[in-house]
Amino acid sequence: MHIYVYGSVCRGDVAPGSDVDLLAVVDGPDSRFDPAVYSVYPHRQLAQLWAEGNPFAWHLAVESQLVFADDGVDVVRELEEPAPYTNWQTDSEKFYQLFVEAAEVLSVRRDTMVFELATVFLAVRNLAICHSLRVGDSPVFSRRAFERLGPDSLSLDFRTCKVLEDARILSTRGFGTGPTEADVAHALAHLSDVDRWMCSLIAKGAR
Amino acid sequence: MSEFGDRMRAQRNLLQVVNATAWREELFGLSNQAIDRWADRSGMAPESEVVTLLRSASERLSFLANRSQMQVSEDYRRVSLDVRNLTGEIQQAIARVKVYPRRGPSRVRIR
Repeated sequence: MHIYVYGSVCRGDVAPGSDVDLLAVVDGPDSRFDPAVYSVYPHRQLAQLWAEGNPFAWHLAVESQLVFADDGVDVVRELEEPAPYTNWQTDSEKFYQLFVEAAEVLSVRRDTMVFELATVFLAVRNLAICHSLRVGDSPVFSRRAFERLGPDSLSLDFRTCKVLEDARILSTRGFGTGPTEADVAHALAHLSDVDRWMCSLIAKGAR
Repeated sequence: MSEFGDRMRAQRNLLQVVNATAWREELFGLSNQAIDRWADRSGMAPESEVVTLLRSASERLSFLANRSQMQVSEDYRRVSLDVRNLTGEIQQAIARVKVYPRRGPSRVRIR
């Protein structure tokens, strides 16, 4: 049994609503780990993520910290560097589609408004992470990865960014207050900026 | 469309089913914390049928709700079917709950 911590705690990137991301690497089914608390991966599946160059493998390789190992072995470090990230085209299309669907729902109904805004944030963040992996210099995994891409960063006004991020925290952590109508209207008016940025990154990746 | 996208749509569909009722506050997501918050604000007991079913759906979609950076999964078809069935059960369970208008503290009563 091997337990790791990863995510915002390892980056010192903590804020109200942050959780502590925990990974359990197990030999087989292990009822001690609640999947709502831990990301639970058998050794073999973790190795497969490494072989695929999966973004999550890169995330763990870059920033996870061993908390406990019953055999004293740091199994993540033993896996060394994951394979190069090669799934940009599929991932970028997937996250863009996620954004498009959320934006479409927001344009016609409001009963899942926070979830849709949270989905926009998720799509933007994940696209940014994948872009950083594709470019390859220094992958970023922070919540606001889209602000840390140098010249490719998303330039989004403070209020829109906060509305989207707060929605994400509310949807996943149940923490915070819902956006006002004015907040939502403001964010919706800026979704075209997000759209342009996503299309621009996807076009760069296709060249 | 990707499995990831399908799962997000399953989550959206379930939230739309729940939020079709005028609760004091909408259900924002299917993480445990979001369900806890919604149950508390809606006056729904943690052991109530609706909350129990939501937790079952949450378990199946848990890495979507809580672990969004993982884009792999196994046995997607089974999970997808489970969630579709649970969504129907949740719709029926909500129909059995009487919801008072959104004035003051929220209270619910089983019919």
